[in-house]
Amino acid sequence: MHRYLARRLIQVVPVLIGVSLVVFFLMRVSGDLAALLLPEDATAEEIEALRQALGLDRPIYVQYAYFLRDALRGDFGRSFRFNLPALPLVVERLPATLELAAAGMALAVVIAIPAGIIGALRQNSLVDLGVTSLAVLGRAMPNFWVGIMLILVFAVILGWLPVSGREGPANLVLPAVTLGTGAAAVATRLMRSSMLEVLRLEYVRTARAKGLPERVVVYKHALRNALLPVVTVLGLQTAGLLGGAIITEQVFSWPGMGRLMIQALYGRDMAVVQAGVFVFALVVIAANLAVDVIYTLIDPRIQYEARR
Amino acid sequence: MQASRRTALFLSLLAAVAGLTVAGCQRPAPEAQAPGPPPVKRLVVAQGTDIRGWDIHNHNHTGTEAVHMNVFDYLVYRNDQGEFEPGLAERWELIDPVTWRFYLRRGVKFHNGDEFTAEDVKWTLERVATDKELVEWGAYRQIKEVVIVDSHTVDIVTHAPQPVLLNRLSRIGSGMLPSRYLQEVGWDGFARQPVGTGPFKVKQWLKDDRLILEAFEDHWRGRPWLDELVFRAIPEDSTRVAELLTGGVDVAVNVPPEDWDRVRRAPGVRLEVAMSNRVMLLEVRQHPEYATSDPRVRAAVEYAIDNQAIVDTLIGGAGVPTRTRVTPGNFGANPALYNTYLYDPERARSLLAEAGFAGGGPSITLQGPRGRYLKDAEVTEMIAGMLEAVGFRVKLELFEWSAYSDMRTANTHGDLHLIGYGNSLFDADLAFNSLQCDQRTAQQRYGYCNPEVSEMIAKAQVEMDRDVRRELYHRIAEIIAEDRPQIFLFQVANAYGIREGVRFSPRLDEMLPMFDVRTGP
Repeated sequence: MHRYLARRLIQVVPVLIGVSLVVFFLMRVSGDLAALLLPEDATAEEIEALRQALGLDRPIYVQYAYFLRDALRGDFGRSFRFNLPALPLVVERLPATLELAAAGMALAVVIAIPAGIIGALRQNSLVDLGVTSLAVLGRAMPNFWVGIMLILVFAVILGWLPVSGREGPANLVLPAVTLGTGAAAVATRLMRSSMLEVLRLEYVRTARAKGLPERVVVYKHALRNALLPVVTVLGLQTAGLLGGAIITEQVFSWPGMGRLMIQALYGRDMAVVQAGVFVFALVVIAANLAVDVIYTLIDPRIQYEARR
Repeated sequence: MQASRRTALFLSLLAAVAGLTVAGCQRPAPEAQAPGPPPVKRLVVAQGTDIRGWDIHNHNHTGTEAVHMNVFDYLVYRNDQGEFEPGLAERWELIDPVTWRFYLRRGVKFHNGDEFTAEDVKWTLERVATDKELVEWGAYRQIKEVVIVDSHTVDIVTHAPQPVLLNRLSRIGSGMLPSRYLQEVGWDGFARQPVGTGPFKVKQWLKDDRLILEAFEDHWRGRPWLDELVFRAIPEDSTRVAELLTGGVDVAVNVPPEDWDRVRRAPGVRLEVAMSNRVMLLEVRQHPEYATSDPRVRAAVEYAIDNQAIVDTLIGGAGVPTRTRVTPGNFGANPALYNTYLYDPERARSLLAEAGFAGGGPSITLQGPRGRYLKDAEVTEMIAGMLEAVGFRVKLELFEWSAYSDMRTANTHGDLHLIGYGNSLFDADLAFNSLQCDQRTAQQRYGYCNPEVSEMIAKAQVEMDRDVRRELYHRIAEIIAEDRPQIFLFQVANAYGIREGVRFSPRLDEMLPMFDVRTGP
């Protein structure tokens, strides 16, 4: 297990270099930074002066070499917008995003697993139809729209919850529901179909034939296997949740990494975009690794050491 | 055993989510209700963006300056009528055409207790006037040096006569910085604890969430009425409006036209629409290879456009048609060219016929940004429709802002393109400067050179007699309106949602000075 983890960690390095290359060059080709930083009526001379001052007149490979050298030391440059080092800015915002993503994920799990099981156990019943319909609806509604509707109903009309910001637990509810809806919908459908599949397997039939109560058959024997694909998908959804957090944070003024990145992109704050993508990449890699580890806990047949 | 562990995990997760929901569904406790100390006099203002840090010289963002001016003081203030008032300078005088003497207010303290002196003026202004890396360098490079006469008197020496020096000293980047403190803590330290002489000092900044300022007891104008001033960054328009309607904020900046009725109908809030200093316009190619090099074609473009229809149908009436970029409130504004437009499609058709396009045409390219200004893509599309209605064959192109900006910088744009220009100097100088024959912008972007205009602009830039300058600018605006290197569309208005009882009125310069703002019945 340890050797497997070490190997996986080493594999992270080329991935990060690849990410840095893509981000660096995409940011450079997406616009002239000096012109974007200055007002619309800046003269050609003023744009040229700023370009030189920022070193943007140097060949792009030279700029990349400097960037890589500094990035290895954890220095992603300074944010133009905040005039502060970029990496601490991004790291400072990570807890808010992780809090939101974790709450969204927890909500997804808490809704999806029971709903999926109930749908499977009562296949083709009205309850099943209800679960499936809600799952389709949850998937079909865009985050952005869900967020605005939740604000309208629960904050503006009913006045139960605050509209935006991050002041206390109350502020977390609407963004977490917004973010968790999509993931819950996917996981519910998957949980349902996976459970249906497992319930038809022979070992389940054997368990029932042994006279075990249905509750034990479902929760002790079937659930564990049925969870495997759900865990995989939820792991993959982590990246989706972080992506969704960008929109959700914007709607709810949640001061996380997503908003930082959006503002950095609008303002062509390259250092922050680069540092942010790096941190995002690390979080996604860590989530995927965590899924692999969780596999071993759920399914004892998976032994990474034994595979070697 | 494993099953029970799983069940326990599941139950605890469920409990956590349920707890969160229950906790969340309680209305936040109203603040400052405890008996005893008087309630905190707080004002919450919501803007679409957060401030861009604390380096006052390294941004050109109006929303940031609107906040900064509560923390930093200028030497000279422009009031809401556009007149100059003493700030940190009690008075000033022109010593010779390139030397302005400023007499500084005594006894002014920075938030950290340092005394404000001539050293701070020299350090602040010479930094922005000499460091090309700073975004605001272009607006201050006219300053040659600051000479300290005594601890509270300075001479600001300019490279050439500067009739707009007071304008330059009362805008973005004009706040006075604490030189000693900055040299001690550096910019990183300053970013952690910014210090100015302004009426409010920084208590806490939660980036992209809120900036909390508190009253500065020792401000030279006296203590501000408010105890606490909070600026929240709420980028989503509908969320910002929802916060206003639910009492989360007292002032919401930039309420979009589609929400105006909602705000007007809501109890306890009012909507105020105020003109901004931004003018939307088309920039026009006059290089010989473009159809718009023919003055009759350019005139036909202007006659084809119904400015008022654009304002009424697309931006909810929040604009005023104009034929000049220098609108009222800016020095040199020519009133004859404001609140007027030339829409006459028949005239446009006959001009095109005169230019040899009786059978249709010419073919022109019209470009516009998408998402930079209010309804920018729609405005461009509507103009394209109006041009086609009089016979132009229009190739319409819309771009995301960075691609659009690149196109303008690289001068690869077509016959006409849409842009919105502000005027942070509040002077015609900024509007006309780039139209001089020797300016690269005039040569490359417009292909425009009118020696008479050039000469008048150059003269006005160093003319110290205000009446003479004003006359020059009136005449320049008239010629520009006829030469059409730019065809002007409308001046843009901004709408503010304001809680009843908040005594604040929006300003033309979009600043948010809150020193003497009061709330309550």
